[in-house]
This record gives sequence, structure tokens and C-alpha cells, in this order.
Amino acid sequence: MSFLAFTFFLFLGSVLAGFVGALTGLGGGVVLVPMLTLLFGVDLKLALGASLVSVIATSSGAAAAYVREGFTNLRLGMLLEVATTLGAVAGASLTARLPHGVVAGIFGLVLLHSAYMGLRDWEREARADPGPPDPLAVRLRLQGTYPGPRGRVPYAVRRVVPGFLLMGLAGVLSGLLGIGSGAVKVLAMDRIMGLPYKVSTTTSNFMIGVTAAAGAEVYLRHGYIHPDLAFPVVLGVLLGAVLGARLLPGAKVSGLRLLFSGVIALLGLEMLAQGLWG
Amino acid sequence: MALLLSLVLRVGVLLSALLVLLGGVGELWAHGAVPVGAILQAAPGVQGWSPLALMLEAWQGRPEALVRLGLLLLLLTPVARVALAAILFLLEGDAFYAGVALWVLGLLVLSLTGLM
Repeated sequence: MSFLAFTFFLFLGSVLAGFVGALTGLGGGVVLVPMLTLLFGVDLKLALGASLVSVIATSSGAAAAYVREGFTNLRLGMLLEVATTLGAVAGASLTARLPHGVVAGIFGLVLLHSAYMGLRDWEREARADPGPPDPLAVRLRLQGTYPGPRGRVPYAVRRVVPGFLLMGLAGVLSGLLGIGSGAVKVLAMDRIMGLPYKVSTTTSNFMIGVTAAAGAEVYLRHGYIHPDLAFPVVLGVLLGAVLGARLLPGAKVSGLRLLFSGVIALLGLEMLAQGLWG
Repeated sequence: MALLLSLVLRVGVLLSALLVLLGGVGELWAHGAVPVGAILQAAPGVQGWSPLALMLEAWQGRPEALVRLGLLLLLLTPVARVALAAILFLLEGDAFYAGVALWVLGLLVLSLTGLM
């Protein structure tokens, strides 16, 4: 395939990656990495470099809209970034010491289980009983409101400490595996902290750019970010992310949950494959 | 606060998209017909990520340096967003969250400069 044709197809694929990434809060990498390695036959390291770029592009491109419309919980996002950036830096330095395959394999199994749970009760708008609000969340002024069909809807935040610890784990995974930290972020905010679904995905989307930037130096230093691969990715992902961010306010939560579960099932299989065959 | 943060993200993304687009078109113009395998295996013509060196190379008309500058700007957009948040929290007199943002900013700077 010529460079021109490759660029064209990669651009189209990146639009899809950015679109899905912005709607799920996962970033574009989840779609992009298997597409690059399996469909286009690109080396995994270059694919992860392109994925890192796409995560930052999805995050910034979609967050510009989500923040302005008031979906993103800024205080919560910033607070949890403390945990994710620490985790990402720790994860990046652990890469040499932990067996990549084992980590990827275990993470894959966890994701498949989460996808199964998500598919089982995807019609549900929220958890049946999210538990009482956390007094710590009130002291940290983490509660907020988000735009609903009839004006802004107030919500409380639960289980701050477990949520914070899980974000640290999300950062470690991001530093170790390069992708997938968004999945842990969304699951932690949705299932543990009991946030409304759209607040969980848009706050995750807000944070993944910073988490990715915290781990970027390693990729730059080792030359994993190839400009000729990255440029159609950036442009396509940005377009897709802006389209996705347009769609999210009117989208049904059940549909978004279904999409999320489908995508993390794909990510789970991807990780399992990396665990089994390196 | 939300409006200003959104503005920084938008400006960062648009500027980097513009640089990447200009450089990308230049790359396609120069190597569009070359098989992609050769492009991805070849050592990049422009080395390093130092902003000053890249600006110089871009000025000399090397499109790849423009793409790299755009990517660098994209990478720095979340950093700029965290820095602005720290300033805005300080102006609001919110010491706790200003500290949180400064902590994240410090970690980002340390990790991006390779000190951590």
C-alpha cells in the first residue's frame, strides 16, 4: 500500500476511534491499537505510540466541549489526577521489572468480567442502591450537578478513598500497558463512587489526557511516536472526538453503557491475546 | 473556570491540528507514492523533540518537523490545562485544589523532562 492510501484509510479509522473514545471515556487507543496491529500490520510499539497520541487528542478535543457544558466534575477530576499521574510514573518505571504478559492477561480477564457485568444490566440507568454519600466527599466539595433533559441534576459522590486507590491502579496500568486506563477510571467512578454515567465517562475523558502525558516521555525517548503514523491519527481522532462530544448530551445512557461494554470486551480480548502470545 | 479551561483545550487542539495538517500534507507531497512499509521502517529524517531545534528545521522547510511541533503542542495541551487550573484555583482562594493542581503539574513537568 502506498503511503498516501495508508494515510487515507488510517484517517478514516481514526475518526471512528476518536468517536468511540469520546463517547465511552476510554480514549481512541482501544480501537486504534488492534486496528493498527491487526489490520495495517504496524509494529506494536509504534501502535502504542500512536495510541498515546490519540488518547491525548480524544481527551483534549472532547473535553473542550464536556467541560463547557458542565458534564465533567473538575474538582473530582483534578483530585483523582493526583493518583493517576503518580500511578503512571510508577507504572512506567515498573515496566522492566514486571512481566508484561502476566499483567496484560490478568487485566484482560478483569475487563472481560466487567464487560459481562455491564452487558447483564445495561438497561439500568444507575445502580439500584449506590450507598450513602461519603462525608469526605462533602468536605472536599466533590458533589456537583450535570445537565439532564429537564435542567441540571444534582448528585453526590461516594467511597472517595477506594475510588482514589483504584485511580492509582489505573495510572499504573496506563504506564505499564500503554492503553486501557480509561476503562478502570470509568468503572471506578460508575460502580464504586456512584456517579451518574455521563459524569463518569466525561470526567474519565478529562483525566486520560493528563495520565497519558505523564507517561509520554518514555515513548518520545524511545522513538515510538512516528510522525508519519501520528499525523493522520491526530487529525482523524480529533474530528471523531468532536463528533462524539456533539452526540453525547442527547445520547441514551443505556446505549452508551452497551457501547462501553462492547469496547471493553474488545480491549479484554486484546489484553488476553497479549498475555498469551506476548 | 470551566469556560477558560475549555478555551485553553480548544486553542491547544486547533493550533496543533493546524501544524500537524500543514506538515502532514508536506510529507504526503514528498513521499505519497512510497510504500508505507518503507516509510515506517526508515529512521525518521528529523531527530529529537527539542522545540527550538524543531522550529529551526520547520523554518528550513522540513514538513516532518512541523508534524513533530504539532504533536509536542498536543502533548503540552493537558499540561497547560493543569497549569491554568492551578492559577484559577489560586485566584478563587481555593488553596486545597490549587495545591492539588500544582502537585499534578509538578509531576507532569518532572516526568516530561525525564527527571522521574
